[in-house]
Amino acid sequence: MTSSFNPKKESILDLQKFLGKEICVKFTGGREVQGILKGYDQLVNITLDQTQEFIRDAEDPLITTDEKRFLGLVVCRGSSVMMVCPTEGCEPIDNPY
Amino acid sequence: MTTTTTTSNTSNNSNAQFNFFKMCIGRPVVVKLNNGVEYRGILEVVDGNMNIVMEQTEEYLNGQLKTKYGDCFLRGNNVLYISAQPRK
Repeated sequence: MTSSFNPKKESILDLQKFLGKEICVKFTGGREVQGILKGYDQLVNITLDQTQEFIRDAEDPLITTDEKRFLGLVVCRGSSVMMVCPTEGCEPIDNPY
Repeated sequence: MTTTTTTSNTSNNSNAQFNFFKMCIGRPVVVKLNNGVEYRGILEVVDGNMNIVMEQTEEYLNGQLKTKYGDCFLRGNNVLYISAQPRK
């Protein structure tokens, strides 16, 4: 990955290499989904297939439980996307709470 | 951290921002988002919208380590601040 400050409008996130692979997306407000990347654009609108959502804790929306909800084919609107990362290389810590 | 003095035009804010990001690239940073979550890792790329790509990222929630990521992309509209870590 090339390091640089990139003031141009071209995207710094090369999702091309993640096409067909499983990625994790977090949204403003705490929602989190995981699925296979099918498409994307410069606004970070993202299309995921075989998507599952991690249900959030009732008391603290930033914490997710072990429950999941199958969503299937999903379009994630870019303006609400907070974070994107590949699922491989993702290492959850033992529950600190 | 030693701050280098620059004689660039002080009215040019993007130049100051540019210099700060150049200084931080490749080095550990702390990024705090609007909802209070902190991400610590190696800063790889920053663009004009303050979109961020980080490596070896750790996510801290209320000060506690929650998850580790290899690569991580943060969308710029959520960024509250970027903080450079002192040199080791």
